[in-house]
Amino acid sequence: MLKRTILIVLLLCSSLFAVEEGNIKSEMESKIATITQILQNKSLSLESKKEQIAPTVDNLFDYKTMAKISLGRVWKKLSSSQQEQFTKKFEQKLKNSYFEKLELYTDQKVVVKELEKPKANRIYLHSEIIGTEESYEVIYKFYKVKNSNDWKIYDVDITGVSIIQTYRKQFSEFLKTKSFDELLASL
Amino acid sequence: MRYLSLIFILFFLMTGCSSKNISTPHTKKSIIATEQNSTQTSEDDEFDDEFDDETKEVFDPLEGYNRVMTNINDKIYLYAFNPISKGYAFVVPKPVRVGVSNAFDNLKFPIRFVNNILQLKFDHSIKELGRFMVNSTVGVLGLFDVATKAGIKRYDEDFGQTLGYWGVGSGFHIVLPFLGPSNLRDTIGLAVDTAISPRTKSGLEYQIPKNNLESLGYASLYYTNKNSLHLGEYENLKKDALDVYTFFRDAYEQKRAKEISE
Repeated sequence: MLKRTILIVLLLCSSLFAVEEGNIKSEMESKIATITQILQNKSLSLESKKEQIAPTVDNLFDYKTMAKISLGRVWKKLSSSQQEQFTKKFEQKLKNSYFEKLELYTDQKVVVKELEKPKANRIYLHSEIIGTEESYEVIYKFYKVKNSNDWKIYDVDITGVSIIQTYRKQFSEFLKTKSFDELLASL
Repeated sequence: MRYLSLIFILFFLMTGCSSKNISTPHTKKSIIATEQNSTQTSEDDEFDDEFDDETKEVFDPLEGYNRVMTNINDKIYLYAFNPISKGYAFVVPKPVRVGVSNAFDNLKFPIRFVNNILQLKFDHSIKELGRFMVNSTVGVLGLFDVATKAGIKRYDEDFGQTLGYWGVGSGFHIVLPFLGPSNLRDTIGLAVDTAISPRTKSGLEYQIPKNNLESLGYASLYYTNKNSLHLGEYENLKKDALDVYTFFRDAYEQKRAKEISE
């Protein structure tokens, strides 16, 4: 128990460093290495794997921005409490989805490749998941948080499929026929 | 009659072109480029240029049929195909299945070779030729992908991508029986690729099956083997969807747009 607490505290500390432009690649490499190590540890149950991985990725993603983009125009029409409610639900949805994906992990290797800077406040980190007979390209999209040196992820693109774009379309289609409250309930 | 259907297809390809333009990666790039020149837009709309307009209507005349077929495919997958693949995975050890998968990929060589040439990617087609020679010999009829291990990667191209490369739009979305999401352009592409594939029978010298039954056998083995290496993925992805049909439709079209842009 104590061991686990120490480990979690350590992991928490390591993720407290803000990701800055100069260290995006090295930070991501070390985070991915940590996660891969946890996933490959056969003595851990799936639940404890998730527990240990969670703090590693937590302050990497900007859930509020993700929620905002995914709702598109509707976002501005919401009250701030509704925005907050939605962000919370969406964050949970993304996390659940992410952890479910981890269940598929068998023995794939993740290789961090090059950085791309499409504009001054955007950086794309290209990586590749290498499986036994197929590989997938994954792009982590970072933006620079205003008035700071922090970079946060606002979208992840897997083999050309943008996660946030896909949610954006799904939510928009949903809201065509149903209400915002129904959307909240379905998340 | 034949001309009529040709005109019909051309008409839809063209309408496909015009409606698809908004989301092609080329225009997306130019939007980003113009944005780069202007000073930063207001914080609220900062990201909107990078994502498709979510209110844009998708041209989907077959939606009714597509939804029914999505449902049928889902049931076929969950109650027939998946149990068969699981049984197969239980009986056949993973290294053998990877070998079978490699061999089938090696057999797809003519498709990749031809389509790389048709897209003027001559260097890739030469590398594909090299891969085929190495994997067919040193790799024991393609069972081992020694070329990838040696650092010569595969350049997947199909005729749907070739059409896209030359500016043909996706047309409308079509969910194919058994095979799942596709669109008009890729369905035509699939027909062409199937005709030159060594594991089907269309009268070409190098094709392996001697009759249609054998051809079906190879197809069954190919898909069962492939699925046995990707068990659980479909069910897992499906959980992310609010609407399974539009989820897989949009994901498919995004993925293809990316493959064509490469």
